Amino acid sequence: MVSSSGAPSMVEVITRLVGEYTSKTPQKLKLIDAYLGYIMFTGIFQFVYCCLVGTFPFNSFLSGFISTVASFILGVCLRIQTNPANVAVFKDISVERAFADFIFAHCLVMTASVEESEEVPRKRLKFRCYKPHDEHLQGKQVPSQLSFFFT
Amino acid sequence: MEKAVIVSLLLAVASCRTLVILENVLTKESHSSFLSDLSTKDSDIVYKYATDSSLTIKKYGESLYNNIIILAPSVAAFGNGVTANDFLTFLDDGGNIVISASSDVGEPIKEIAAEVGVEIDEEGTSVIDHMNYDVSDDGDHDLIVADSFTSASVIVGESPKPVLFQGVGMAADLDNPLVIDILRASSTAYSHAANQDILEYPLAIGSNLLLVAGMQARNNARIVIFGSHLMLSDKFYNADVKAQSAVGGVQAAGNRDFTSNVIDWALRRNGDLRFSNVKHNKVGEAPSDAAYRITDEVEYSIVIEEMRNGNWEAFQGSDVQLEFVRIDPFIRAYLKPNSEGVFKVGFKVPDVYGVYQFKVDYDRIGFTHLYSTTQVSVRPFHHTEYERFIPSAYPYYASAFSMLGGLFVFSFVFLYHRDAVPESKKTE
Repeated sequence: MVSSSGAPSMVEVITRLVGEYTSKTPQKLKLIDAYLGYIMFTGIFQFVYCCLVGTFPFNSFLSGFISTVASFILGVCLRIQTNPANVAVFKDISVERAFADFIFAHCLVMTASVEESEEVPRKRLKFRCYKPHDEHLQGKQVPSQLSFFFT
Repeated sequence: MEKAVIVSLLLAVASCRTLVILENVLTKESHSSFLSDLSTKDSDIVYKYATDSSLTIKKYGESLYNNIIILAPSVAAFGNGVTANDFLTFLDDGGNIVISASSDVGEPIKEIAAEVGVEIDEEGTSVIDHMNYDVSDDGDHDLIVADSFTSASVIVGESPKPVLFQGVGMAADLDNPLVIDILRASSTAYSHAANQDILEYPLAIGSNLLLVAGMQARNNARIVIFGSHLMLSDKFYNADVKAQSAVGGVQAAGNRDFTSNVIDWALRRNGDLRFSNVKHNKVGEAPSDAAYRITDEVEYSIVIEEMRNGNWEAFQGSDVQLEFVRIDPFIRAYLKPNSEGVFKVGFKVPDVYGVYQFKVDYDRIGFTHLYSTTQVSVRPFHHTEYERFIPSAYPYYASAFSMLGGLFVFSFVFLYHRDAVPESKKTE
């Protein structure tokens, strides 16, 4: 509703926001926004799937979900650094430099997430096998669990 | 030197030496059947009189005998300064002792009994039963017929017959869990001096009153105390019994069979267990020293033998259990014997890794304590043994790769995209 004091209504605010966005935002940033929307959708899909199916391959869920979160964050960073409105803040960082950073960070994230997505324990404990018939161990104190970490 | 030791060891194994301490010359006559039965059980028997000045049970720190049978109930002091303590040391060293007591029981015998958790009633008392006295009793009602045997058939044999008893009563020390009540008095019996007024509560009455007591020490040494010296005599061996209250005719006394079985047990000719050949392996594989993996199927087997009448034979117990222990037992299963005494069981290793023990701990009344532990490691899955590419994780794989593909496509779009507006914006 429109009040007499001239304050804009919610509908007005939204239409104006959309209008400004379509007319004033550069095409490049719109591309990034579309990319971000795609990432967000993938992340939500995984979360809902996990809620429905259960947490069983938890490593896989974590890697898949966290890879979307990381991609989203990197995308937002790229958007901030390439936004012409922020040129004053990022004087030294060109668009090419920002994109190179973006790709480099992605290399790290993707390597980790693809490797992690299999159900394989990463922390492999050094486990000494005590032979069952070792005479010198018979009747002696069995090493405690902690020694797995220290050996 | 070594050879001498080996030879002496072999000799010790070959014959088991038994010392029989007799009260006096007459004992050999009155207990001839008992002694002749004994000579069939052991070929190497030494006879000594209780007051013999050459009586020795230990020489150079070694026991001279494996078993001692004391048929000297009323001895006041043993010869050659042998005391009750010497017999207890003998027991501690693994020797077995059989003692016969009677109503005029001597101090050393009472002392030995007290040390093993059996209290013998005062001198002059006897077990009296006004219901179950034998028909041939002379009026004191202390010649009684007893048939409350222990349920451990390894000690008294299968279905023992009633026995004739005349002697002193005993009570077990409640704090001593090792005492075995081999023969108890009937519920109507009590322990007191005959023909005297009862002014104080007797030592024990009814089925708390022990007529024959046994004990197996924690080192598996055994001691048996018969409350009646006469119980082992020829006279009682050949007697006929019939309890006054019982119906039917007289029957032969079971003393001889009962005594023979109890002596077999006491001299460790019955009820000894030993194990050998402990094996464990993964199902379908040969035994190896490698650690087991969690959730492996494992087989365990152990050979258990039982001493039966002086010979090792396959044990056939149905209640032997195996425990798979990591501080607490994770698995407890019955072992099934075959005819050769090989006990076997298979089970699945729990889903918890660590250092485990296969443990067989078999402790039953009348048998020696069987205890075997074997330590093994249980490891978690190896890096390569986990399940891979689980179907329910495909959406996650797909989204991880879609992120990768999305990045690839986005890079091209981003790099090759040229805004149409920049020219106009620059002019602003």
